[in-house]
Amino acid sequence: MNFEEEFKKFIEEYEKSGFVSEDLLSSPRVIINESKVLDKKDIEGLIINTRKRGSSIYIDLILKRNVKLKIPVHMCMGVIKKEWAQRIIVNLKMESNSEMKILSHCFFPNSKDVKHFMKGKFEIGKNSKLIYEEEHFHGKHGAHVKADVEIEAGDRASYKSIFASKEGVLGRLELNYKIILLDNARGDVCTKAFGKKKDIISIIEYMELAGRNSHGLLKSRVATAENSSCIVKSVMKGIGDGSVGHVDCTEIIEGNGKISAIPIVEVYNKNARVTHEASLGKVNRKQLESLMSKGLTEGEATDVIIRGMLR
Amino acid sequence: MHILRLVDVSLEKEGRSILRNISFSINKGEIHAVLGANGAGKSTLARAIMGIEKANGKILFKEREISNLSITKRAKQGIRFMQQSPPSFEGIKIREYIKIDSAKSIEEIRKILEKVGLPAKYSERFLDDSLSGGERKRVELASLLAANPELIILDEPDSGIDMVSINRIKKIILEMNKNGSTILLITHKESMTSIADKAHLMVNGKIVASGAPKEINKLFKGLK
Repeated sequence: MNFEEEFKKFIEEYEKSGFVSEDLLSSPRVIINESKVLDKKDIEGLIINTRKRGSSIYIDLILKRNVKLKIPVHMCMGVIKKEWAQRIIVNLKMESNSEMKILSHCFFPNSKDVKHFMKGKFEIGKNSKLIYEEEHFHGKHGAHVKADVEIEAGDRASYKSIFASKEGVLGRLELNYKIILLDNARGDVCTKAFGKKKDIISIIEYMELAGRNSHGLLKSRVATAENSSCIVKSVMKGIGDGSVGHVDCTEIIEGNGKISAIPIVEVYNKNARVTHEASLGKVNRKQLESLMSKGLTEGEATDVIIRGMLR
Repeated sequence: MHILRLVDVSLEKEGRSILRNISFSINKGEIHAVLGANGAGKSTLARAIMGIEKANGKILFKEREISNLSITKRAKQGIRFMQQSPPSFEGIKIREYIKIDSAKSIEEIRKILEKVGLPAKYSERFLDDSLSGGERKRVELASLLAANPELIILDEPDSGIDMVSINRIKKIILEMNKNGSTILLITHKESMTSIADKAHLMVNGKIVASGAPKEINKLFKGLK
């Protein structure tokens, strides 16, 4: 397949996976198929560099000081083949007083044995704001995805992330996030996943409220059905004076699914406060009754509740 | 025609009688109120009619026995139930919730929301914890107005609501009735019975008196 054919095929598969190519191709972007950069487009104030070392692709993004991007930046990583090991290393640096939204779309529509390993280091400068939305499509058979990301939000900086998966089977999903919030920084991390068949999901989130008046939220919404399993470990440490953190886990179990949630809240400062709430188990009875009283069957009502939670 | 008829409906929980041989009937197009103090068994009665609680005795809807039907099947026959504290739902927009059992257009939904005292733009809001208890109740009333079912069971739609809003709720109930719904209103406030054609006084799981709302209110006051 020549480059043009590969690019065309990639975009076709991207759309079939439920994403919109018009948005992708009209934005600043990096497009990677397997271990090849297919396309890259930067914009004034945003420098995107890519390089290949061994089988790994390195992506460096630098957003210059005072630059506030109005349109999102797309990071599109796919594997069209049935088998492949994709390794991506992302280094993101946002200089002070900058703003950006990244849409990270990862899709492995034909996966039988696709591996996607991603390492990331995000530095969010003083008074800067990053929204990072990651969405996955793993096809009918699932893939093995492992992401290790370290984020540091500087003075008055803000980091908001959402991870979600589209329809289909996940396979094996391992997410490890470490977030450090400095003085007056805000962190809001939300992870949503729906395990089916024999999916194995592991979500490990670590948030350190290191700075004065830093505020953080770790939120997870997971459903496991059939024979899938999930473990969510959320660690929130209140260190800075006046720091406030909250861990919020809601996990629903269906069929033979299994879920463990381990919230760990630690406080090292008498002026810090960290709270947690967790709800694990079957679908809320009152919600079911409410929807069944509108004529839905128990199965239909459960589906509405789970889809809403994972939206 | 009786739209709802209860014959010797009883319910026991952990050896305790919650409902004791309850029998009454409602004609199509009527508004009935069940009045009683907290713990009298009013909510359990409402939940038993909807099929949420399993009761003994006979429950007939349009003279057909529905005692063994599921909640879903009762709803499909034309019965709706509003819980005392309706639950919130993450990720479900108000218009989506209303459309589950209504074919109303988005414009019609927006008008209905205004009718129940919510801004039209709430159609795009999520039905989650960001709504107050009162707002959540209004959404439920809007949903019932949109669905226009044959029988509506309202479990204390007035609880936790200020006096001004109570008058609005009464108007909404009257509108539901005007649109063709028969209403069974569960309440512990005498003032709510003013819109009812008939009231029933419930004490310790029993209907101890049925009649004109004013008379039932007097009896209820006497119990306090």
